[in-house]
Amino acid sequence: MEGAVAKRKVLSSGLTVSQKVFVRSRNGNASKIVREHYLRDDIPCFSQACTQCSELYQSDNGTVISAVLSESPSSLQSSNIGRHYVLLDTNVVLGAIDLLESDSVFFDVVIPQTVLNEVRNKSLPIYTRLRALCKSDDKRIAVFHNEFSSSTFVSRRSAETINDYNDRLIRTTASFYSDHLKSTGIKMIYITNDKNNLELALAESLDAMSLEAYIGLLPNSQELLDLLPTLRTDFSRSGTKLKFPDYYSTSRLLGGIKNGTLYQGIINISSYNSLEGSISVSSLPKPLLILGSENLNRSFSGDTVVIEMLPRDKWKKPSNDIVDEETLGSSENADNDDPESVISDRERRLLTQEAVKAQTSGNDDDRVFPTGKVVGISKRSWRSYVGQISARSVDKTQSSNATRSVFVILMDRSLPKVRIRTGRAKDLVGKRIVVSVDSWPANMSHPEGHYVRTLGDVEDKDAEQEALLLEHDVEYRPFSKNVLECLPKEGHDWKVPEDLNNGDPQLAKRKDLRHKLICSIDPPGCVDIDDALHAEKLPNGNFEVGVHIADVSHFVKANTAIDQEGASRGTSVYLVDKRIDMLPMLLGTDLCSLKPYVDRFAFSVLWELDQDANIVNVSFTKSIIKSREAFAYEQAQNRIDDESQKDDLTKGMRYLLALSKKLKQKRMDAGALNLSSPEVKVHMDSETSDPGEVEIKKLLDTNSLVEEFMLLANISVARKIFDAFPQVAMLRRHASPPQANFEQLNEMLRVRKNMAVSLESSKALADSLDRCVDPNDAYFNTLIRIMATRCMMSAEYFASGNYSYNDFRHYGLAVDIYTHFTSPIRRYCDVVAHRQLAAAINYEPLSIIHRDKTKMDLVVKNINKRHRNAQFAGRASIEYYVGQVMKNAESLEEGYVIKVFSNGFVVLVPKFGVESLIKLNTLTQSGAAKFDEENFKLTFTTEAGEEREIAVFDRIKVQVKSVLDEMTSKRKTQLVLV
Amino acid sequence: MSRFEIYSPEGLRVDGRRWNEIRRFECRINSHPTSSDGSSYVEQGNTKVLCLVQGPMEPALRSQSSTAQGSLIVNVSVTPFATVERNKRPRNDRRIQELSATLTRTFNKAIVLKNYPRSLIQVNLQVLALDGGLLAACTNATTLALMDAGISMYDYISSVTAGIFDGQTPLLDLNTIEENELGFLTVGVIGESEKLALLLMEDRVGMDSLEKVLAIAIAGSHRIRELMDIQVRNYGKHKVAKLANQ
Amino acid sequence: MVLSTTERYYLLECLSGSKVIRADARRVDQFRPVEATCSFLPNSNGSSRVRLPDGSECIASVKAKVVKVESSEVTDLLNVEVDINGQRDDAEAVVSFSSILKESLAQCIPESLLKLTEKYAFELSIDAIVISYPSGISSFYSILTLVSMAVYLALKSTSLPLLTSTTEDAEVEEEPTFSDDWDLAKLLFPKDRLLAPPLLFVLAMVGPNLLLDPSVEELEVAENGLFVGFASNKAGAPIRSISLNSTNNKGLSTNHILDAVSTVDSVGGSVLKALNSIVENSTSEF
Repeated sequence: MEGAVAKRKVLSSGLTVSQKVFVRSRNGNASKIVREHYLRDDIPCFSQACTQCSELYQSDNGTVISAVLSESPSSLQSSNIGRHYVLLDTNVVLGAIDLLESDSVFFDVVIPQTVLNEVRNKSLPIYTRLRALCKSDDKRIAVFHNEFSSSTFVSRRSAETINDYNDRLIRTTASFYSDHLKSTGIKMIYITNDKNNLELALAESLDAMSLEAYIGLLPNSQELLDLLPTLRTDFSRSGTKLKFPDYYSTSRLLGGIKNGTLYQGIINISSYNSLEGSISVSSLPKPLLILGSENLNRSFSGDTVVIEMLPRDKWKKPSNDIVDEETLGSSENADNDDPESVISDRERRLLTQEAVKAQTSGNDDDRVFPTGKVVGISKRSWRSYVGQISARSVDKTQSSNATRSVFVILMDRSLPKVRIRTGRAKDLVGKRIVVSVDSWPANMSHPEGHYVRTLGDVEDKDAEQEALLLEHDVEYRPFSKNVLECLPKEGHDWKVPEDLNNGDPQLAKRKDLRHKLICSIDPPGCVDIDDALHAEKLPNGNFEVGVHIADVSHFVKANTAIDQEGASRGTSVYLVDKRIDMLPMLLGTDLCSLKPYVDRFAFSVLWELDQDANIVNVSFTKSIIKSREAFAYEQAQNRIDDESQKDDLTKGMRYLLALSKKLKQKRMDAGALNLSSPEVKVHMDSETSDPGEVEIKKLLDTNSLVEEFMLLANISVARKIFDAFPQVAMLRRHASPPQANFEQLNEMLRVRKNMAVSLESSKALADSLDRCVDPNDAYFNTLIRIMATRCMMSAEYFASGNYSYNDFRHYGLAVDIYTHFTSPIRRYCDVVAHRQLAAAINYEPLSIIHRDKTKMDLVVKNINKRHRNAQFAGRASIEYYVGQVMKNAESLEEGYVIKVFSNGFVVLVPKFGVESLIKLNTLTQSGAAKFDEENFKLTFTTEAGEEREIAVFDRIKVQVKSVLDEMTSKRKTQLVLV
Repeated sequence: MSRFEIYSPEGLRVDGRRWNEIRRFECRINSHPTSSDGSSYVEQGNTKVLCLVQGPMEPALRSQSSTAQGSLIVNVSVTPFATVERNKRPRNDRRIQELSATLTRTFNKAIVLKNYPRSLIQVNLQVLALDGGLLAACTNATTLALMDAGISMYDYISSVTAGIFDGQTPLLDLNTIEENELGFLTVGVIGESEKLALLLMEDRVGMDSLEKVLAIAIAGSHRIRELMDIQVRNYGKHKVAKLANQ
Repeated sequence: MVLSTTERYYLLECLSGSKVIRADARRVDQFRPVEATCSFLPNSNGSSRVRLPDGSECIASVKAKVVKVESSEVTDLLNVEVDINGQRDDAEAVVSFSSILKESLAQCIPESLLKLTEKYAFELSIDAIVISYPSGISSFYSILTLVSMAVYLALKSTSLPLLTSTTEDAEVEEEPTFSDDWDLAKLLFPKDRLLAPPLLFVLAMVGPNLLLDPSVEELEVAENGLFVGFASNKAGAPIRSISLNSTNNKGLSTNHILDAVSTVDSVGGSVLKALNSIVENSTSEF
């Protein structure tokens, strides 16, 4: 039968219309879908050399289309190809996006629409990167809408698979370009990594080649060849036994998930034990465990996977032992892929031990944990990873230039080693490198990837910092031209207009508050001043208090390039000696920053508070302010304490302080939690900018002064925007912690200290934490607070329509509703809150992107992720610097045991805020130890022959030093029991 | 993020049109000569609407009879198979009733009703396939069928939808995918004027972009009026020729 | 349609004699010309549109949906809804048309035709909409033939997506998945098989004679009526008597019924052939 050729009809407008017909399978149903498809003759080829298309570059309606492909593209000397453009296949874009982004190769590139769509369907992040590349002026990449162009569109043939059809569409495009550009002498080279497609292209006498062949023709091919993605065919060897179980078919997975026999979720692999994963499943109260590499079945921590429960006899307890891949993997030669090594006997023994333990723990159901195995992967979390080549996998005897496989150990310990092929293995040893993961075939013990670039030497400050940013997915590249173009043209000379009645209706709505005695209080050296305050006594004895926040939304208008960049960064990231801004410096540290002595735009919250700090009324207004002084916390404290100061500004500050204490007391009475994290600060030597010493952050009254009013402002704003936008108000919630999170801590407290924390309410929790005191140890209470903090849920941003009002509650602050409003320079949530508040007070209309629920959900999801990543990055940065400090200064410190395993225990050293595992095998040769699980106690004999007992909460002396981890090349703290 | 590039940086929409292009518009007048007094069939992209007009005729109910002017009833029925997922709407479906009311209001002003005292004009619309622009296609079909029935009208009412992409670019004549993604409005334009007989804005069109959306919608309606006019005149010529032959 | 006494008498005379003279010069077993198209609705698996010269028109659509089957009753997989423009959903003709069509279809569509896997099957939603009918129609039953033709054509043009997942899912649940290629969709009634949806023929009784496909005027003078099914190339069940107007109602004799069956038997084949050629010659717009 002749394939149904879609009818085409020419319209009077000159367009040709045809119909796309296909079957859409969704949720088990199959629907016939028909879509109109218009073909046109006015799509230009984008080549500057082409004269035929010159009339087709119209710029109607703001969409400027211009020829981007160079008139004289680069030429290949080594072959007879000469000047050429390249047209990339989908597999090349997906596999070699890093290469596409590099500035040493790939200029004048055509991406057919078919490729763009395929990329979009397969990977949204790569699509976004590709689209960003198309915007860059120097790469000269053009998207050619081949499926809409009547010269390149072909109908699908009967029984042609969608892949074959797409390949044919792409080849047709390549062929069109070849003919079209003939007169210009420029060739079009079609690059594909698909063997069949390449053969077809060559048969159609196109200039086609594989990526490797093309790179091979370039003058700088040596350095580029390393960057190529691995092709599966490179590695497939006959006779290799299948190692990992195959994934189930999609229909089996979907059917299973639907009928509840399979579960889907995000797998989290323990960073202590790379062979132990867990996954939260809605139908189970506790996470399901996935143990061993066969059951983990090639999943990466963070992947969305489908799992099947294992039979009851395979259920386990969580591993109390720490398993490293290093201790398990015997064969280190990457080319020698021993099929038996995946499930080593040692792993089996460990698993068996656990199984035995599970059985001996009797019928106590609580002590047995169900386990499962991964049977499918719905979504990979693959990104670029930082790591370094495992020196052991580099064969030193081989000649240096041969391309061979080596293993890259990733910095994230929960991830497996990645095998890459490189000819420069020897040069790369000892460097931090970035790699991309390409695939993980079932017959490979490790995933395949390729080298992307080198960051620098291991332990080099800049390399480590960049590694850290990459690992936490923090965008740290300078702001693009598009973004910078959104800034005021006047730059640093921008000023608040002198004449407030200059006819600008927005300006007229601002309240002039320049006569108020406003000041800011921040950490010393702060340049991005988000907030300022004032207070004065009213004739009726009440107080007028104002919180003034930098008016970022005046400069960052919704949906502009700068707004999109801010939304995508979500937050500024603070590292020990570096700040990654959410918004360009000009705004953060100058135009928005509420610097003293100059006029600035602000968004003000004004309250009338009574003597007891109760709100009598509240109003919101855009304003103009002039800060009288920018204080550091300590400065402010001194000024308040200095009784000789009697000016109105100081008086105002004293009112603020007095009111803030009342506010704090009220919060505490309501059950606000005073939690702790071991926060430390690294002092930098100002000359060498080497880290000098570590100090625990000191808190002054003035810290809490600012904090209280910021909380109050946030709460007031939250109420207002929720009133105005009940569906989409940008809020922040903190759920109460589930009982289960506290089980272990409570058990430890009960057994070791005969204490308990109560979870009945936040008030009860706060009170019970207050009662956890050891009269002999002042730090003990703080320790419990630190441990309790880790059991809490993390707070999250949300759009108000997604939860019922009762669930808005912020548990830690003990308030019913909360948002972030006070730091718009460094948090995107605050920017959204500003815009919503501005709309709520009728200052300006609210952009669609903050009124549309689905768009808000995306914003919220992103800023939650960014917020988390920023926290982790900040912590990692401190950890790194603490390590550097200790490198030069080993010392004897006090530490606390916070966790006990059968083969080691974890100690926290408050002075440095570090914690580390002390393994049993470093303490005793014999390995003989008794682990009393019920009492969280480990008894062993030291090498000196002395019997020692270590239990949770013990205060012990440890020697603190910093060592370079052989595996991850990360400097980490090592603690040695003294 | 949408599964589609609703409007690509190269200036093309999901179906290959540019921002200011209408979809395929095809119409037939007098499609059902034996079973109605006036009839039409309109395809706007893959939206297909059939319209039958009965009347002017004597009303069956007294309440429909007015000495001052004729009365108009518009019934819209969206067939259960019009959408991808079969959807049988009850006869009192709110949205459909609203649609009927909007059409009745619009054509009450477009028909010279004072010419038809004590008479009833009944418009029945059947929506056979739906791919965006429901109200627009119904309006255009009604205009044509009323003309076919020889009912005096002040002028054409031509209609089309327009939406706004990213608060920046107005897009003309949306299909279902676009309607789901964008805020949009439907206009009905009187003849070649810039006056609106109909404006329906469901949601999400910011006031700042209203002007440009309206401008493109009016231009699009004019284009549709032209296409309808060509069809009407062709039919007229054909009919005159036929009469002359007799 | 209101006929004058003279008109009525004249018509009766012409139609009840031994040599029947129909007003439009048809033979007793001759259909009026039918105008029909198939596959014109984008969102349906099969569709048709059938018109008669008197302005009657019916549009039919078939949409398939994947459902989990509990029972093996084919009637559970058929959902037939008839809509007559201007009639309420609970009007007698609307209700009885739906049930007559559903029953006759259930007898001709084996369950195997719709079954996908052990657990899943296609459910067909068959919608027939009578867009218009002659204004003075005395009984809706006269358009039953039109509706049944529209349904026949819609079903004959119906294609169902091709299942690509396994058909054996009794033990292990699988969600059915389908090829995205509409060209690979399979016709519900394959061309090479005799299997076909049923047709229903309406006949009017005037005196001793039976008139196939009665016109509006003929309905007025009909003394009784019946419809006869035609499936698997022969006339048969369902056969039912129907009243074609509100006045005349004389009994049907056995002869009438046998006569009706033999008329349908002789005409059915050629009607079917004509309809099939419409299906084959109408290339799908989509």
